[in-house]
Amino acid sequence: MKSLGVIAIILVLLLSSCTNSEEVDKLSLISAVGLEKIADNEYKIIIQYLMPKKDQEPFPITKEVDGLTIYEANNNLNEFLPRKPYWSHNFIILLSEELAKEGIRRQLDFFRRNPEMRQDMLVAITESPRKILYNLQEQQLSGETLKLIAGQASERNGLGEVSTLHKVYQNLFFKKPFLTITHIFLDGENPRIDGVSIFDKDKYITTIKGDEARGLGLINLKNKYSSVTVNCLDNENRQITFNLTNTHKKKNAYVNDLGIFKIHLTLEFEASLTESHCMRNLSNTDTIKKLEKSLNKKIKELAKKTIEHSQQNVEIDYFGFGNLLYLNHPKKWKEIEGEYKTVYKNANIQLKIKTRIVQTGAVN
Amino acid sequence: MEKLSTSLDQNYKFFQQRLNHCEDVEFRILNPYKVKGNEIIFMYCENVIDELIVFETLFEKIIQNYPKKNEKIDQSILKDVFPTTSIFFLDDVQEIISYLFYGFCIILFPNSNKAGLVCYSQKNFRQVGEPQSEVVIRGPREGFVEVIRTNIAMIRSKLPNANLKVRLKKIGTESKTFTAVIYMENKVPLDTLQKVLTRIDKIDIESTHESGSIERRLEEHPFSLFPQIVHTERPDKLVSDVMEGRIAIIVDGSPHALILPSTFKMFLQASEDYYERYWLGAALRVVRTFAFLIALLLPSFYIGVTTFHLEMLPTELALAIATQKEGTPFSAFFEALLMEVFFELLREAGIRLPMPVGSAVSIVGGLVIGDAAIQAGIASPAMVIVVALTGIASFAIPKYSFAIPLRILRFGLMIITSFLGLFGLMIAIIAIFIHITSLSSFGVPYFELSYSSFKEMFYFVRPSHLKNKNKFTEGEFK
Repeated sequence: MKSLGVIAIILVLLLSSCTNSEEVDKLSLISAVGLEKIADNEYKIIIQYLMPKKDQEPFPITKEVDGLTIYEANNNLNEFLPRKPYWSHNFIILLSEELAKEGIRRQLDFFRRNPEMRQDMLVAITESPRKILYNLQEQQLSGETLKLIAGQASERNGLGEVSTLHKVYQNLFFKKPFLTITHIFLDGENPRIDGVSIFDKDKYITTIKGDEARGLGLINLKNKYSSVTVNCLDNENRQITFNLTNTHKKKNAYVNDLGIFKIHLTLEFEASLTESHCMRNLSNTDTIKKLEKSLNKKIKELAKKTIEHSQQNVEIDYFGFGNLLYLNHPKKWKEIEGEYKTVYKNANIQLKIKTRIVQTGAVN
Repeated sequence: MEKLSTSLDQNYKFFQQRLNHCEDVEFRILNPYKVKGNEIIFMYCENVIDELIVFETLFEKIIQNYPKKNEKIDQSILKDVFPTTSIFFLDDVQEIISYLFYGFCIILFPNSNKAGLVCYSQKNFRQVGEPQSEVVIRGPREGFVEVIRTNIAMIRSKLPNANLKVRLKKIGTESKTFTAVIYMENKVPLDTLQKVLTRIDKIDIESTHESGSIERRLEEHPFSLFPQIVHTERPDKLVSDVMEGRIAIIVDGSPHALILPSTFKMFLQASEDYYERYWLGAALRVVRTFAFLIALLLPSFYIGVTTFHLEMLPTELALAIATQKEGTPFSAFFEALLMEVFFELLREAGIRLPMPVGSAVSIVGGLVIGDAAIQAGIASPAMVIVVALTGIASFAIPKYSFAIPLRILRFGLMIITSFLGLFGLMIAIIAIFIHITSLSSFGVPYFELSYSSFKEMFYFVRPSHLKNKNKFTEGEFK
């Protein structure tokens, strides 16, 4: 009886085993996928897959396919691919702006649901995924390049967060979703990260660029590099540039007795001087103090600009302040949840910036 | 006839008949004064005895001291002539014959039912040399030889202590092979010793020429793939294990001494661990543990990852493997099987061949397996790396006997993984795990997952199962 039980357990274990044995040389590794809307409920799916060649770099091939859903498109792909499409190693999901306006959650469902999918693929918004993917093919670049560019832009230039699939989904399921996704722009021949797309829940609203995008980076990112340039103390026409690292960030959100949504934001940075066109002696403590002050002012300006944009222009909280309030004061959040848009619009956001110049470089 | 009779004639006839066609046995009758009934008979095996000394000392001295015509000769002459030599008297025929072939000169006296035995054994065997299977960089260079006397002498010289007991047993109904059970009286756990001795007595075997055949009969689980008794060629290892409270068994004719009880971790230890600095020893044991895992799991893990769980790999690696696999005709499993079989063939061929040919084979084999297989498109470079790494890892295990289960299990794991992926591999690992934890060696758990076991492995402390509560006391055990 005992041995019978053991056999039964073994059989159960065996029955639940994997059945998806696939030889690696029978797979088409998909490296990028673009989704575009043609008409209502009609999508064009553009995929780029890598064709491995012996003793050569795998070269990317772009194909287009129609389908109501991505999985249907995946099956349709088999009509002209020599091997089974394999999605796990996809680098990037490109969504067209038009499509994103309808909401991105259902488009990403396929990638989330599949248990074999890697969750570190980049989600990006662009005007036309088709153009970008064909452009990549012309240059013989795989989707990995785009992912790497996005990483560089975020890490070395403080331009938004790298919006991986995992993070996007995580942000979508917060109590108050706040979603920012990397935006890719085709600058002539070269794909380029030019800003951050902001979302209302999962619907695309607009893309912020330049100073506003950088301000968002300063507020949201931690320990990422970003450069800030201020004017010289003695000469308005000359500049001095610092590299900033965020060392400390404190956010506090509450609703006061008068019903005003209040946010206290303290940002601390360490700055190192990387380039100076000024003639001042930098070994002087006063000079450093003054420079720190003007840095504070500049950072505040940048951050304010973004905050103003979010409060006045688009009226969307894409910093996650609402979520912060929910985490700190869930009861208060329930009170204002329904009219959050107006509450946020009139919110009082107080900024406190502290900068410390830690390095002035090898020369004085 | 089991005992000697008092009649010399009868004894002589009996031996002549019993040793009929044993043409290496010589009989000499000595009767210098030609007195009837006053002769003695010598018996010896000419190949295992130093004949020159027999003639020069034994014969000559006895002739010189031979009693005069009117005096009877008897056993006392031996004691009188050789007061310093070890001489003893026996009446059991079987024993006398086995001593005859060990190199004793047998002397039969008239009117006596006891024969005198004098040892003139001289066998030319292999010299003591460096152990072949356990080479060390630092440590003694002597290894056991095939002669049990030499081996015991080596141990005694390392441990001149009365607590070191050497109990001789004879194994084999036909061969009567001398077997020594060696232990430290004040350290050995009594119950283990009792178990070992009774089990040795129970061994039913006609003849034995190597401790391996005894090892199999001593083990509690002889059909398990995993060896449960460590064998060593090094006297220093044997002595240090005996000092820990283990029991050693030496079989005449075999340079491999058995050490028991043995546990899993002993197979991953080398004597050098104790001679070099602590940190090196501890680090090397970690390395060997990894070598064990690699030798067992790497090919099947590779098959599982590349055919079932490609998403587990970093994308660059997945692409590199895909590129390498391009143009190879076989599935990952078949490729791995092919290369592993190649490798096993090479290893088997290399071991049996004489040294100069062996190295040639390994060069050709290395080229064939490595480069040519890739060029010909039979295997992908990644697979060659996997197989080579597996092979090297199995060589890194200090005990050859312990690499054998890994070699066999590796194929089983590969097959199960090719069907069930890493899931199947996991089931197989659990099965192996259950098996080795269920094994025991003379009442000691073979494999233990515990803090103390871990400490013994990496801090070099004395195993807890040998810290005996019931110490051996004198006279308690016979």
